[in-house]
Amino acid sequence: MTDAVRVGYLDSNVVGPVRISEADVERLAGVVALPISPDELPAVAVALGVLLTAARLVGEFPLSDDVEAAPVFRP
Amino acid sequence: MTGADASALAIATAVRARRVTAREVTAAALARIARRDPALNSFTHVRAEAALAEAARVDERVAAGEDAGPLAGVPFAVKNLFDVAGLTTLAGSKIFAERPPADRDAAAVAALRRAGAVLVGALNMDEFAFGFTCENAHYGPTRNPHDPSRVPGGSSGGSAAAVAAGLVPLTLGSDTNGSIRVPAAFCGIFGLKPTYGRVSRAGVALFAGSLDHVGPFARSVADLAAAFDAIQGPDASDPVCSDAPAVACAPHVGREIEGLRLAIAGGHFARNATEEALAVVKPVARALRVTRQIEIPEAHRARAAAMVITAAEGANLHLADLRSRAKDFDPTTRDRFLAGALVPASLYAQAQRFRAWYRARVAELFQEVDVLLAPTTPWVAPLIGAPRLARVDGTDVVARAHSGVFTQPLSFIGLPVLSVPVPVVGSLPLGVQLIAAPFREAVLFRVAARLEASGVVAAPVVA
Repeated sequence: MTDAVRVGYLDSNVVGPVRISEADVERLAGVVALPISPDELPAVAVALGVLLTAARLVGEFPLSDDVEAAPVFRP
Repeated sequence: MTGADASALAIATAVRARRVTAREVTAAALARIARRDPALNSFTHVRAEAALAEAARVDERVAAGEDAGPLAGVPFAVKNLFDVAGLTTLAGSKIFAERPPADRDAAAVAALRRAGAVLVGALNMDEFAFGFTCENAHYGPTRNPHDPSRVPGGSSGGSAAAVAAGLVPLTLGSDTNGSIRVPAAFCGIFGLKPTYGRVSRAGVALFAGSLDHVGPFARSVADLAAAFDAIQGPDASDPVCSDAPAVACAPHVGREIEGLRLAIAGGHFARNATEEALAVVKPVARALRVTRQIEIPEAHRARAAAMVITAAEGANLHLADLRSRAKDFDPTTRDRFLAGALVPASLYAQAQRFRAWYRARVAELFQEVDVLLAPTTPWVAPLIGAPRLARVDGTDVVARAHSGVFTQPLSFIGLPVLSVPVPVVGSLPLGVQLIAAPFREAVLFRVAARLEASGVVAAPVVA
């Protein structure tokens, strides 16, 4: 397990930080065929923890089903 | 007209009136770059001979009685993620340095050239625009002209440092999460992030396409407006470029601001920063006689969503290189790109849906207000090589990322934002963001010009 992921303002009372282990990173990277060298694993685990904490903060906010993603595709 | 403090418009007027030649102005700019840039490291390429030859052609047009353009003979430079015909587009990377030279100019570069401006070179940046410091491991850090031990901000750090030091009066940069506004504030100059889709990104290396913008830097509001007017407008070659006709902003510089509804952004924009950075809004608000406060709802969550979208899109763009040659990435971007490649699709999609919700709420807010004020950065320019974590407002934060705490919630929904420079006595400059509803850049220029005339904001050349 990496150090506590501190991302400042993202650590609100609503959601706690997501902690990602190096083993988590290895498993996820294997799924998407992304080789990551062992010396990179700690830093990637911290960076992914920051992103998933941010994503959790977004995900905690309720959205109704009619809210459609922002990008518009024009055929 | 050949001095470091000459404005772009003064140069163009003098060149068109044949009081000075474009060649003389360009030669002087090249001499300044040769003298000062070894210490600043803002340029990654100087095209001296080509620039002098192109300046001579401007002079030929003037001599022939032709219209040489509103920016005739004005030296300018661009962040090295813009295509320049004959140059390899580095995007701050070692990987792209292996690519062949671009065969044409980016749309915005071509537009400035059509206006008569003379391109003198390409500027340093954070690798692939993923950073707020311009500490580039491949090409070295760019230094802040106000204090060479400090960063100029990023990712368009070279673009801001070159203007602040008076090497050129105009530059172009890009802004995905704050990459124009943060360096503009740290270097004490004006920077405009236009509405998403207002300026073509054709020929500009993407970072996170959902959020990428192109915009200018300058030392005066009038110069900024002239540059923006030259590059704004529809372009079918950029899939997100708006069809809406361009609205010229130069005529709005100096127009009255009476009747405009102004307010200060509270909540998220009134915490998470040093007292000094928050206090910088006060003199600007006083000059505009603004006391009303408005809170942008869920701005902190908007920032979080912007982080997720940025990392996921950026990683996808570079996935092949991340798989085959991750070691060739800058160490400051590598871990974040690799992490971005591991973000589940559902979390990315949720962030894009939240973006639509947030856009609608902020649009309602702009029914009641024309321009919002907010600090640009949470602190002054950090030291080069600063520690990873910093403590601000009672919380430990990731220092590099936190510089964007006030810029990210705004670019997230493509609002036009003009960062004005506020000199701070005895300290480094800071910035204040002027924020409007989409496609209302003109009101930003009216407010910025009023502030400039009042003396509260200014961007003197840093000797």
